Amino acid sequence: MRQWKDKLSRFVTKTFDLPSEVMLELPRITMIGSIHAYIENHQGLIIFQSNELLLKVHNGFIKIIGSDFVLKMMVGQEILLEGKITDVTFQKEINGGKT
Amino acid sequence: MFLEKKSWLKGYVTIKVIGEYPEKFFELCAKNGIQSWDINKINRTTCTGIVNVKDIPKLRKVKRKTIHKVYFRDKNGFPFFMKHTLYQKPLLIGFMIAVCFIFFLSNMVWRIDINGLDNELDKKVMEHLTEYGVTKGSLQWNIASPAEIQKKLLEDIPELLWIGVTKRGSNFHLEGVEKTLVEKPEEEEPGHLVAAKEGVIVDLYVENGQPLVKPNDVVNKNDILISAYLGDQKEEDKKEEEQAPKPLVAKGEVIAKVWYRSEIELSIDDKYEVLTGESEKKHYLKVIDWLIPVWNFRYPDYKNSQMEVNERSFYFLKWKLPISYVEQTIFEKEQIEEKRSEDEAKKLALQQAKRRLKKSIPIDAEIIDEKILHERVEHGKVKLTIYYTVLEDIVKRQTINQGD
Repeated sequence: MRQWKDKLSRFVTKTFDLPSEVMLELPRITMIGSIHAYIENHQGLIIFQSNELLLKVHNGFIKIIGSDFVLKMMVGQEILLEGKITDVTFQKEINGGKT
Repeated sequence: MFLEKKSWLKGYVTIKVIGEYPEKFFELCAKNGIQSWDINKINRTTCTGIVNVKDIPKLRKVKRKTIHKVYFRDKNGFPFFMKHTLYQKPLLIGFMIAVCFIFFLSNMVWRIDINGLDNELDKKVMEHLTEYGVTKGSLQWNIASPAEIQKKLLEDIPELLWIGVTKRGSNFHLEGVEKTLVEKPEEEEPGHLVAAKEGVIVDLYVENGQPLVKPNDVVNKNDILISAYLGDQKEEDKKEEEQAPKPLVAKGEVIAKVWYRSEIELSIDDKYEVLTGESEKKHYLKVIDWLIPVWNFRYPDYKNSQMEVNERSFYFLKWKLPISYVEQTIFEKEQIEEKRSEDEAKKLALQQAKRRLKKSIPIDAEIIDEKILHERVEHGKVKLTIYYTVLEDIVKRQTINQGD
């Protein structure tokens, strides 16, 4: 059932040329160099420390590592992160398990 | 979700959250529609962030659901700034006093300029102005309008031919013209006296000159009445080439019967309005175009009325405030319809015609006879043609061109 739904939405996105992050509930990460990261469409903040940010997204997690992190803004499903970003990783599970 | 900027105008508050996973609190806020900025994690259990003032009630609701402790730290922005200033009473009072003072001073008369008059008259005008209450330092709203002052001045100082009163902010500017009483120099130029109108001579008083007419003579316009040359006219003509006698200044009075024809029309029914003397004074404060009644709220139940409006404006520095004080006086008016009989109308018409005539003839003239030549009633109107016989002085000076 779930797979079937996924397939359908992927098909719709492709045929109608819709932005994929909207249809597929995927996060959109916009980065400005390594100082800003703008994450839209996430599903929740799990950990925030001055050197780590862990966000829940569709089908996994995003982990951003760096230093001097400040959440410049936080609204609904958008986060603007400021700091020195060194690493952005996608994870299947909270502790490791890279996709 | 649209983003809002952290605005100084609306105000924002720095909050400090203490508890396990304090970032979760901000997460919860975001989910409940509370926007937050500059979230910093200070240590494992402490987080600071900024939220809008208007979100604080929502924030309290969120707080109840969590185990985090929330402390409000810095308050920034305009609402807090205002609050802070309002608490500083001396500053506020000082400011108010200053504004009141400026307002008060803006409505004073600060300078009175008088132009175009000599010192004596200048002083006199000043004295009168003082009498009306227009002095340096008097309040403008106690003073009559410039037009009224102008009228009063003209009435009270006969030497003034004209005076213009203008008000520019807190200055009164008067521009006067002095009536130079021109002493009519006796026209010492030699000349005849001629008839100004045609008529029948009744009387002659000759002071100087040779009268050429006798009582009961009929004279036409521009006939010589009193000649400037003594002696006979014919003789004078003869002599003219040989040795012209020196012409005199003819002086005298010639009273003649003069006839005037006057036509007058008067409607039999007459409608006119009079003020009954009943009046009601109402006071308003006018803000832009709104009249706010201040005193005397009842509206008089006059059937017909006439309104007189007296408006006084307030100033702040040189600007006219949109607020002014309006005094309305409502007079009761009565319409009187009069139905006259033909006879009455006729009588009235005669009176009117006489009055009209008196305006056009010299003051010392005398109406000795009036005769109605023609009379008819037409379309509710009485039409009269009247003939007047008037005794008046008909002399007119005519200077003799003595040639080059």
